[in-house]
Amino acid sequence: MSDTQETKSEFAPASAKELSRFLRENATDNKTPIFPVGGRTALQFLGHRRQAGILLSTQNLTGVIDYPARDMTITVGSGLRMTDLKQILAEQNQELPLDISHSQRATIGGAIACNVSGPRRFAQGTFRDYLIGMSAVDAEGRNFHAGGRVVKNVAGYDLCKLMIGSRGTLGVLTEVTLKVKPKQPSLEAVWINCDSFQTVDRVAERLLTSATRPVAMEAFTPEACKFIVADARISFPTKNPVLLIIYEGTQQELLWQIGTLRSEIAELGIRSVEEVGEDSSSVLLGTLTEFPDGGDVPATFQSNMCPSQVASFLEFCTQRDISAIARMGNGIVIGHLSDDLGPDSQTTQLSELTTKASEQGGNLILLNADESIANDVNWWGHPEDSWRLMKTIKQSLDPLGLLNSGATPFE
Amino acid sequence: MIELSLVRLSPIKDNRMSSSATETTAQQLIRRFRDVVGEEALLYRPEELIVYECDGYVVEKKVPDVVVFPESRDQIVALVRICNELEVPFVPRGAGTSLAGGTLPVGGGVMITLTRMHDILEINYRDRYAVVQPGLVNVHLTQALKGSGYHYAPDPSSQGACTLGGNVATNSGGPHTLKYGVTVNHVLGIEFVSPQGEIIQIGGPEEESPGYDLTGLFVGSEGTFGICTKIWVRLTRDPAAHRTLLGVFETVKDATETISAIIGAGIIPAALEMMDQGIIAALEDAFHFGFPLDAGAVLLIETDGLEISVEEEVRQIEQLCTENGAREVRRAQTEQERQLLWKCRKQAFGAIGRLSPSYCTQDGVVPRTKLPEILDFITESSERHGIRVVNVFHAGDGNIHPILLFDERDPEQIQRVMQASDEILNRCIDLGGSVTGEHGIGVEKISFMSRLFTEEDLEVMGRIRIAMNPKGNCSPSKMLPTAGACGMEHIERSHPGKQAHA
Ligand SMILES: Cc1cc2nc3c(=O)[nH]c(=O)nc-3n(C[C@H](O)[C@H](O)[C@H](O)COP(=O)(O)OP(=O)(O)OC[C@H]3O[C@@H](n4cnc5c(N)ncnc54)[C@H](O)[C@@H]3O)c2cc1C
Repeated sequence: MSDTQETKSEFAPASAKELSRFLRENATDNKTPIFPVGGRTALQFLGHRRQAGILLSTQNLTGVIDYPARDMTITVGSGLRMTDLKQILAEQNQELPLDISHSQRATIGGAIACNVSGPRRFAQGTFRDYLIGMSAVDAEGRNFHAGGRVVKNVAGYDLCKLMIGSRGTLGVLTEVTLKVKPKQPSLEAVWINCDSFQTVDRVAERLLTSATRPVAMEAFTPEACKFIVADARISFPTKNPVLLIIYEGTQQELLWQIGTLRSEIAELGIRSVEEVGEDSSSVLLGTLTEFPDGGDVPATFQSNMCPSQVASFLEFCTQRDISAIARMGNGIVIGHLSDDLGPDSQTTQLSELTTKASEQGGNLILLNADESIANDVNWWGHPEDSWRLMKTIKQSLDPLGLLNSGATPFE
Repeated sequence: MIELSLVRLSPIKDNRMSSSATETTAQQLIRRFRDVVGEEALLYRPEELIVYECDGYVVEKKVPDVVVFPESRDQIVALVRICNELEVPFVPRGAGTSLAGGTLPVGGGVMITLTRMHDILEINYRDRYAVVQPGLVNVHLTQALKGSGYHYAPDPSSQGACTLGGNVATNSGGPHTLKYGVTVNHVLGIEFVSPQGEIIQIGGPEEESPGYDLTGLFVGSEGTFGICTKIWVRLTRDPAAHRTLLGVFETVKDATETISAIIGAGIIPAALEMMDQGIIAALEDAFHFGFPLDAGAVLLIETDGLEISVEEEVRQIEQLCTENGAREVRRAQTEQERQLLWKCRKQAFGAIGRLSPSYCTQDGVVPRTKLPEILDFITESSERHGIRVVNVFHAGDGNIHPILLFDERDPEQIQRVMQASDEILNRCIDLGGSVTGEHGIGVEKISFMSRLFTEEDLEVMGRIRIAMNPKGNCSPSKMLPTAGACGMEHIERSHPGKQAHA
């Protein structure tokens, strides 16, 4: 078997039916490894397992199948680009309030398969809260669906949840039904320059009982601040940790919340709450949404832990010049390793980070790693008992292991 | 000598299945269970078992052979392993308020009742989660959190009795799940004892973990994937402000048009519930709230948010009510009045006993803009079959609960109730909906599964079931119509689901 990605051929079926026939035949005849692709924005995680195979594209499955806007649900083909979806919803003054990176290219199916989320997950949740129905084709060509087109439904096993974040290893999504929301009129971000991560933590904790209702609380290491300053053209300090708070709502709600926040924070002895301004706030949200794509960095990780553990983890990152942002309300840290390090130090640093995350009761997964280290690093953290069960599930839908091999923790 | 009829999951290959051998198995089971949990945590005499012959779905009945009340996860592991060794099926049970026969011990066997595992293990406000045992009653968590500024959002009407384990298994909803989401949106992690007796933790206090979202898959699996022994739930901030309204309408049609108008206008209230004239009369009789007895229907609407914006939403809602023919829109003036309104709503099922000796609640869902259509159909169907129907339901979600009133002693009436129920549920499917929004498939609705799903859908679900429950010994014959594994025969839907009064 060849070892380069160039040997992959491509196929873009015109319909779910064709896709299903193709996979059925493949499973009985050639048994070629299949790599489902949407917008090709998140294939890095397969980078360490380059194999020959077929890229199976959903690019032709882009139709809007049903959009009863007054029911606030929409059913679309999985290959629909996020920008197109956004536009269609905006025409009805609605939105899917998840922040999806590369929205020009990313498809809704790919975003679901990778469980993409962004800053606003603190208030708006994740795909788990929006995907109410789906159709998919498994490795042997079975065209199956679960859920439906109504917002509440408990008939049958909830395979929607299983498909979210399964990275194309259980089936190829062909059609999805989402619950959508009325579009928020405006968004406004404010930031606080903190002298330490302890202060970040103190403010974030205070915000949990604030009279206001932030939709996002993001903390940045100084390295991340530098990136944000350059990308969003916002004048953050780049020596200290920064905590950013985002609100959404009517002008009246924004005004009231920011005023209230100021007085609540003043009680903690913090007087400077800087407003980003409405236009820049949207730009900033975009920058934060795209942050996980680190460009040429040697490795990008996501660490998940309880929110109270994040400050200490960020401190650990800062000491290592890691550019990291943290969803303070969710306990999620996304970081890029510095490219000043050689491959050996990078590998060592990743294993230190994994250990640190697990000491803090959390876990760490790699989103991307440079080829030079990809085979030497632990992509998924420490094995868990549940992985065996995941493997059994994978085998029950893909007994030959044809779909996206290398994209699961248990292989 | 105790007579037990334990059902073997797989055919016995030798001739041990003589009656004395069966007795031996039974005695062995009880003796070994006794070693694990002690005599006082076991029931096996027929007169004790009768209570467990059904849950809130009282039509299909089957007594389990043994009911056991473990107090710890390790006891459950031991019990499940014994069941496996002796090839006896088992079914988990919480409070037994299932309205779909989820706890029915089809084919007999062991019932593992979780009500003695009812502790709150941890409440962590900083990280916004609580860890609870499965037997904890839903409202006890609410009470423990009272005054903290946080709450556990899913609030089924049965919350005074049902357990968190049962809620997880059925993915329960409630009035406030309209805005805040159902059980699965609030469960972070689960520890369970697998059907083979292993302890497995999926998820936990952190929001994400590597690999598949097995927590999301487990929620709503109706007890067929193992026994849940610990649950990590997300805590939700209390709303900064709320307003509770009662919209009074001349007709059901006006009320349902209003619901469509509110949702269609992009307003998602915290809760939006409908009660029709029949149920209002029963509630007034029971609680003396002061409901207008001549109204065709009332809407119970709660809106929440920031104090500065909640008034504006109330104004919009009031206007939409008026535009759609509301006779008046009242506001709960005090917290007491609000609580009383909610008490009436949540105890509505209890009041139905005043209307009829027996009743059958259906749990259909339609797209919310189709509510006027389905309610017209319900009225038409009830008239055609000569069956009285009253309605109290989660209107904002499109989740209808038509309650068909009848007298169980009249088999011909039962037949008509069956026909009307099936027609209504089929109509929900035709309108693009589902046959259950929150009560589950259980044994009650198995026959609808092949209308909702294709053979391939069911095959995939069957494969998932085999992955999670390979021998099919954990709650056999639930949810899926076709044999996913041995012991999963199809149960015909032959009776209406009369419900226990909560
Ligand atoms: C008056 C009344 C009102 C109701 N209102 C609502 C409502 O508003 N919303 C709603 O969603 N439901 C409602 N229900 C239905 C019912 O209360 C819910 O389904 C509830 O979640 C069941 O909880 P339980 O503890 O009684 O579980 P049980 O009835 O004991 O069991 C239900 C299912 O869960 C399984 N199970 C129980 N415990 C475990 C465990 N630890 N591990 C694995 N599986 C387990 C059982 O095997 C069974 O399949 C109502 C019922 C009544 C009687």
